[in-house]
Amino acid sequence: MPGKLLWCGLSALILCMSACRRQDIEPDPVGEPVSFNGPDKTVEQLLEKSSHTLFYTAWKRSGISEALKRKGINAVTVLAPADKALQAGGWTMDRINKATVADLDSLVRYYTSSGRIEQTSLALRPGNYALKTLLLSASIPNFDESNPYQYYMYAGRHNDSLYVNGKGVNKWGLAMEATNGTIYPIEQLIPKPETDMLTWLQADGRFTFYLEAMRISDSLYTDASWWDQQRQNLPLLSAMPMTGGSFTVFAPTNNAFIKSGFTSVEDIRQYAMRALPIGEPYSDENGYYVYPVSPMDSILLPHRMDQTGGNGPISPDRKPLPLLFFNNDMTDNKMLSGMMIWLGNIGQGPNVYVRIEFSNSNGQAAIRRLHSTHTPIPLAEKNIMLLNGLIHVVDEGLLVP
Amino acid sequence: MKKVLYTGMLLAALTACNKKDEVQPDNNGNNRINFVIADNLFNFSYFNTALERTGYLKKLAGEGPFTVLVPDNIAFNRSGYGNHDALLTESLSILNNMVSYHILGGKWEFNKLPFSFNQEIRTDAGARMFVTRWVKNADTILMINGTRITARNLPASNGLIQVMSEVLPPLVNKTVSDAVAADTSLTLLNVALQQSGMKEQLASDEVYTLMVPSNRALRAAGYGSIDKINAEDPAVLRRLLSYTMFKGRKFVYDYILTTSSTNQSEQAMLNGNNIIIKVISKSDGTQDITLKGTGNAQPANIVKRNVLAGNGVLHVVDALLKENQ
Repeated sequence: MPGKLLWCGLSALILCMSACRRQDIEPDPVGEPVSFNGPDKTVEQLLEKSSHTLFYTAWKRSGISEALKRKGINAVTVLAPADKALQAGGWTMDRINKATVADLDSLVRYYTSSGRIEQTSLALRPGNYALKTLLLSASIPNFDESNPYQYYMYAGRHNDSLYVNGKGVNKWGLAMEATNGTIYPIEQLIPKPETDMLTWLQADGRFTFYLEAMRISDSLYTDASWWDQQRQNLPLLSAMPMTGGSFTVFAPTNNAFIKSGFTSVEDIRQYAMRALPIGEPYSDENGYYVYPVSPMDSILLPHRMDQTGGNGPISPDRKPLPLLFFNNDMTDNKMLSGMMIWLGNIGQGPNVYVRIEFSNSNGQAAIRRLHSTHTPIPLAEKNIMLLNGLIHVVDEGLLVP
Repeated sequence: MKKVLYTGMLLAALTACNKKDEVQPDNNGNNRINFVIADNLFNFSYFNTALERTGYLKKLAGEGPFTVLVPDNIAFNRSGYGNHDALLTESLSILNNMVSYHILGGKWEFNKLPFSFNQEIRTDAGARMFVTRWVKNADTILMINGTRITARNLPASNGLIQVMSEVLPPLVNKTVSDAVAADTSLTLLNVALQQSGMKEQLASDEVYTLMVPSNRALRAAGYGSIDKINAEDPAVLRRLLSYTMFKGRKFVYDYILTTSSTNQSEQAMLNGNNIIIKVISKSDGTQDITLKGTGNAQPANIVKRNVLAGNGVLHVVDALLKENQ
């Protein structure tokens, strides 16, 4: 009897052991073998074989390959800085060898994003593609471990160059395809944003009128409804996890205000007081809930793509919509002028459009208010990447209707 | 001893089917498809609007995985949506059909499909579509229903985005016969098909590609009215029409891909005789084809291309393809 049980058990065991073996019956191949000419090396192997010795050393020492494996990230897009670029940024071989793993990890993560964006995919679309890098930071003020800051890169093809964050960083067509990702060699380091838009504007003496105009509007909103922070300008420009997403500001200099007829801060104050008090929110004839804005904001809101905090266009995580328009987006992407960025809802806000018309003047972007007949304004300074957005400086006037 | 043996066997049996522990994917919620679309609104704002209007945005924020075919803003423009308002006033049922036709269940890396023409796959809602992967010169071309994928496999934590160069018209007609009946520029052809007795043939399970004349083309060929067509001998009509269709499914781009450097190829029609297909380069850098029957003096142009039906494809041509009589 025990013998029978043993036999039964043994046969059940053999059955179980063989149950999950898959041995497909494969038909014999037909025809001539085709030589494989796709990628056959990993990102790490390609970096090792390339001239990116410093970046490869940092990559190896950072232990990122293991970290990617642990996280289940099986494809990456790497912007690999050339040795010369890293050296110019102070990353010599000596420093890389002595640096802590954490430092190297954040260096490598800043240039690496998860998922493969192939070269052909970048080439066939106008403007940039948003690369969400693997680098998060909890040490930036207002951010913490539970709500870390996320670094982005914006890469695209412009003419025959690779552009990142609005600047040409290498010739086009040099990307290397690996089995687990794409490497774009770059000749320059991409500066990491350090400050937020408000701090930048405050530190630069050219924007006192703009800052004052926003401060006055904010005080009027506070007078009208102190409990409602949504219409406030200045908090939106500071990098906060909830208020500050990433958006574009066409920051007007004092000179721009003067050219549009506001010769002093007093003029701005007078203009701001014109329509007091600012009304309460109301439902318009279409059923949309409208927040009245100050007279100054009615001029200035298009300068920041009509981003109005929680009342305006927001991304799925309820931050301002990440709308970063670099110079090459504005010159190459013909669909940006008047683009709808937010679908209105009855009982909530109305549709929001980009109320700017972009034009290309000899490869340089110029802007004017949508449907206006003014001469387009060139950008005095471009592509200033900050923690919570992108600033272009306009010096030739405001975006008046 | 036996107890130990049995226990061992039991353990072995229990572990036999255990799968190896897998690493957890990076399922960080803010990298889902809806976020990737929001991050790239400067190219995807039209599709985003369509998603919001139809409520599909919530679906794409879900676990997935999904593959979303996203026509970029230029694609919407090319497909007749000149501005966002055109999309806002579009009927919701059309938008629903359109959007659901662009969402597939699972992660589809089309560049891993075999090199082959028009491989059938299905959308999340069950509608059919046809994927081609082929090499032309140095480029690997990926197409769905004859429309090129311009940026492939854009990653999200719950799926992939494939960027399309045109909006895919959803498959609304079950058969090419229905597609002809539904097209107001093909009313004369519809009568001719009925008179010739070919309607049923085109409503069968057999797959057809039609290269058929528009009303204007039929008028120019001498069939200016329904009465005139009804007075024609069905056998004559059958002979004429069987030179405007063939068995199988071919999109315009299929010819562009398969035509050699001579830019000319032939297509055998239903009656066994060939027409000449020429690939032409247009000023905007794109390519198109012209068609010429042996009896046509001039090559004909396709005025409406790649209209997909359940059992085939319909192309509307600006002339009746004719044989040498």
